[in-house]
Amino acid sequence: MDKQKVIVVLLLITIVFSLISIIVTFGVDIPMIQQRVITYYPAGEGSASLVVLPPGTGGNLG
Amino acid sequence: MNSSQVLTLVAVFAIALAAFNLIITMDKVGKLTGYAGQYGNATLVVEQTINVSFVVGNDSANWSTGSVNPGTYGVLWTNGTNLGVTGFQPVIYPLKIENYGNVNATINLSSNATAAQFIGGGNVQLPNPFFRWRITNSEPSSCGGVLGVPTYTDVTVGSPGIRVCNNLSHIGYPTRNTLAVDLEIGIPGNAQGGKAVLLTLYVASIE
Repeated sequence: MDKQKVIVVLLLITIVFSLISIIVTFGVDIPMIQQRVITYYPAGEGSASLVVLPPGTGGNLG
Repeated sequence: MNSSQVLTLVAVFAIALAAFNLIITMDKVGKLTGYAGQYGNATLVVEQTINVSFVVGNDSANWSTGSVNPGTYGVLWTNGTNLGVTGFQPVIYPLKIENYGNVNATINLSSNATAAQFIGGGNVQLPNPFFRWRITNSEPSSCGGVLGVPTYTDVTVGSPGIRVCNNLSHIGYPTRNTLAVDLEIGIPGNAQGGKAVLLTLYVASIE
């Protein structure tokens, strides 16, 4: 293998490492981006209730 | 293309890619909050968990059964006061919303019914029904931001409701992470039958 081929191989390795580094860097950033998105989600329900009888009929206390 | 030109092309591409990588890396490094001085730093990330819900036992208000005095208008509150009615059970506690998580949260609230849908009744002689809520700190300083509905206001219907607190604290558990939801219900004398409404709690991370 001549000198030029060795250099080409080393440069290709450098390129691969750079690509891996870029992918990893972006990959780390993805959760940070997602965290900034405001999304509401339902977290439970409360309730109010009563029974109204016709006027004048009173009602029970139970 | 001879071998020298190929080598040059590959070298230029490698340099360009490395420069791009360097720019991205420097950009990320600039966002790091850690600062290394003469002391060593250890960094860890604690997963953020939003966990907000109505407090069990304080998630409903039930006035039971009663009637409105003939030809009049009744009002029920969640502070134990009933006015112009007969027989309704007083509700002495508001509904409560508590932040059980480890991160502050934005809180919205919505109703599945308007006053007309929930209570009904009313006409020219009798005022229309009303259904209002008021959200305050059940424990002092629970809402570290702005309380969106600090006085009695007509309820909001539909998702995601109205923002009632933009920063409900989780800190100081269990002493200051709880909101109170008071209700005020106006019942015309001609509104009769069983009445029920659902209040839905929506949460999100703080802005």
